[in-house]
Amino acid sequence: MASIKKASFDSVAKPDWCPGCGLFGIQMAIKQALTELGLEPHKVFFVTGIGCGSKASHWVNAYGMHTLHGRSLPIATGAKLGNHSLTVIDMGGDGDGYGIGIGHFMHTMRRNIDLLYMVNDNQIYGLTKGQASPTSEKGMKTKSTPFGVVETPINPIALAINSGATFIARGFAGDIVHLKWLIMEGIKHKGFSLIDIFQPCVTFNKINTYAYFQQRVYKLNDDPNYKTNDREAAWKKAQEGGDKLPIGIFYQETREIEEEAEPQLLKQPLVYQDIKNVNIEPLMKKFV
Amino acid sequence: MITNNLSWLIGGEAGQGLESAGHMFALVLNRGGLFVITNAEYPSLIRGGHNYNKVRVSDKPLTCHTNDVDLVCALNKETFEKHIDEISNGGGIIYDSADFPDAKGKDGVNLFGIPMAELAKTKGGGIIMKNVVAIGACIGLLDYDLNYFKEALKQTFGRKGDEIVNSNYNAAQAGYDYMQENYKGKFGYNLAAMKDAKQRMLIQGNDAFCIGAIKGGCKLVAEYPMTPSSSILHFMAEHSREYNVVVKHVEDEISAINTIIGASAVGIRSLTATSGGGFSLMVEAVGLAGMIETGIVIVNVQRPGPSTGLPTRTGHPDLRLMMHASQDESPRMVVAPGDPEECFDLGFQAFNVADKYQIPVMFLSDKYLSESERSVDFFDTKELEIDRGKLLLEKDLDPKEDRYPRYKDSPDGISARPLAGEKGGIFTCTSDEHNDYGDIVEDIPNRLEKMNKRMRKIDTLRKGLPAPKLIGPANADITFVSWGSPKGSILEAIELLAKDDVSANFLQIKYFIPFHSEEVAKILGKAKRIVDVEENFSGQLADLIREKTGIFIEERILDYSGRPFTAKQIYNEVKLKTGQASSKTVPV
Ligand SMILES: Cc1ncc(C[n+]2csc(CCOP(=O)(O)OP(=O)(O)O)c2C)c(N)n1
Ligand code: SF4
Ligand SMILES: [Mg+2]
Repeated sequence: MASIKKASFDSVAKPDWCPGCGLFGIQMAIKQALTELGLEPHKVFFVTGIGCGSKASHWVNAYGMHTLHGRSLPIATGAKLGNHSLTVIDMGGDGDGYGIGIGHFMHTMRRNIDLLYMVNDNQIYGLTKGQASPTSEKGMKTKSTPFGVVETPINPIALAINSGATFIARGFAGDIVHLKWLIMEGIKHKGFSLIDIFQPCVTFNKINTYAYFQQRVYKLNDDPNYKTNDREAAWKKAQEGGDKLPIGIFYQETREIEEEAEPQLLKQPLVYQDIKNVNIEPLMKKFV
Repeated sequence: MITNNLSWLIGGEAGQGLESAGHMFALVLNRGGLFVITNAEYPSLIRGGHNYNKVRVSDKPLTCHTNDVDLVCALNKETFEKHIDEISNGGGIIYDSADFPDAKGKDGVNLFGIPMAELAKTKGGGIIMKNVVAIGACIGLLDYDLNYFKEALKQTFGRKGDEIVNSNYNAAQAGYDYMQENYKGKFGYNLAAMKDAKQRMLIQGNDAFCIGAIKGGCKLVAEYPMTPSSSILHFMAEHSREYNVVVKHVEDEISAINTIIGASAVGIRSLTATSGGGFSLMVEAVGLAGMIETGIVIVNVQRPGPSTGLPTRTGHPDLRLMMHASQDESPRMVVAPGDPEECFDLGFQAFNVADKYQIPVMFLSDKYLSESERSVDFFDTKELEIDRGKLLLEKDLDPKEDRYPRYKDSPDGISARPLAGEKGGIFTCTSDEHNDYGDIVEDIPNRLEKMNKRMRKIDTLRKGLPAPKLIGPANADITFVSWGSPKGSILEAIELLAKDDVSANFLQIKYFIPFHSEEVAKILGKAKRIVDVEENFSGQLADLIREKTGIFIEERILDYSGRPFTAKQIYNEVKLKTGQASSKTVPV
């Protein structure tokens, strides 16, 4: 849409991330995707959790909500239920979504509410200065694991396949064009979309660096034989690791979304429904 | 003959249909224009155990239940054994004669054996209709009109077809006839429908609250089940499509409160309900709502703790929890109703306050109030008006502006807030300290301004609320102070004291934040003898009053047994101490 200036999602305030942080690429990709989709800033509601990446809602010009550690998904769900004419997007860190907030993560996928959830997955706790996260590799030495992580990391893509997410993708902060495409597809998708994003944390994660990812990532959807509607194929791809890290859309399906399952929302978003003239006479009569 | 003044109890095991029997008995009396009040006591289990439901009935308005029992209806042996000693002189007990072929009662108590199970099997539709036979028998013994019961049975079972309805009729009639034939004129109590019986609701506190919430424009409910709050979830879910309210049973209480915060942030009125344990999980988000100035309504239907405590019993242990929950200090309203009418009125008000003042509202009910059914006049809705406060719509905004200063300070502390989705209204809200636009800012002048602004809303709100007033005669010998459902028992205790020529009045505190310190100090400063009545261990309200007014209330009637106060209990405690120095040491 020509009428929308490219700069309209640019914020007044500027990010305070460490120079070189992968979050800059993500922020760029988000703004570009929103712009290319022709969305207007006042129709976008951007919810974030708490962490380095979660500050992004301050730096994208849209209605924003920077919330609590791990709680952005219920909040985004409430916002979408309250006004489903808004485009609701959500972002949080790997600690935020796969650690403290993992219960909400699984249930939101099951619910298939129409929103995009991005996880800036830097495999570390950035904002609290470098502790292990649920996606930190086994053996990784961090401030909270000076002798190496002993737990097996979470596999977010496999988890999402199992939990009923209807759009499951992985991006890389170092490939903005590809990530922008994923974000656009995720927003266009009707239902819950997950994009797990490899995000170098240049300050605290010295293992999963730009170079590390550049050597390993390959684009899943470049393979014409890969079908995104095949759950089992997606499951297999989700198990790949080590030297080969697929990025792209793993899986996508169409399923009834929450907003369609609730007839209360069919006529118009809840927020625009009249509350000044509710007639409770019939209710009171039931108690006679 | 004592007419229209009776306390009745039905007892049995969980799973025997006690709740529905108690409810139906109360309903048929209510429909006859009588005033009823019910109270159920049961342990936290699904089958077995000892359970009972009480119905007190009168031709005058009632404010509380009583522990006296005039007629017991025993569905099992245990009820007979457990309650026979409680029955008043001249009272009676209806029981299955097959259970006690040679029952021995107690002096002054009439035994009314009836082959309940047999009648249910031979005349009704089987043993499951034993409770229907029993209610029919009670109506027969009390000489009340059986048609009210038949009507209620038809309403309840009509959907299941004529056959079921008829076998219920037959069961009821069999019980009724047996008593009329065998015991007519042998019991000193009866019940008679009022002439021109006025229509009243028979309603519980939770249902009254829900109707207030729906009238108050509640559009989203997110809740995780917890006794005794679950009936709010059930009621709202049942009526969700009729009233276009979205009701979600979410994964936990943390999700519940955050979901409604998200919903309120985009401009809708929303609700969560829980009990103390569930609320404990919500605590962090209470601060979020306070910080981002988003109005929500949180109901805590209290039960005794600590921890799981007594899940199905009553009490008022969570006043301090609600007042102080969450880190640092953030604005909120804490309010507690004392009866179903107040559940409705304050429930409606809660949504206006949350929206207008952009604060969380903590609504404190309790198990007794939430479940006890009472005869209540239709709620008066004439004066009720939705007030959305400073909500900005498209017409109020300048579409050329990139952002809106949504947290700008104002004399009353309340900032105008654009509805998300409107052009020219863009802002960010954040749990971090922030400036007018919602940008994270840590400088000192802004911090002080924003903290002051948020907390100033409590003063603004105080001015908008009615100050507490004394109920009863001025200059009384005794001034009761209390909150929540003990209200009803205190009002009746005042009547009992008046019969002894002791005058008493009552200061009911409904609002704790904001607190009307000046008004309370003025009233209590003049009181001759103050008696604090609370269902918690320490007297949380009494301590709050001391904190806010300097007035120390030494005399405290505290009950944390998990059972609601009765009027007699309060009366007895007061009489016991009248003219004596209290033995309680003064805690400093
Ligand atoms: C309830 C709660 N516990 C702990 C914290 C402290 N905290 C802030 S951010 C964070 C983890 C950040 O890691 P992640 O979610 O991966 O985000 P990143 O900073 O890496 O983007 C923690 C533990 C908090 N804010 N709230
Ligand atoms: S700590 Fe890591 S994630 Fe956070 S801003 Fe710096 S580089 Fe980025
Ligand atoms: Mg992280």
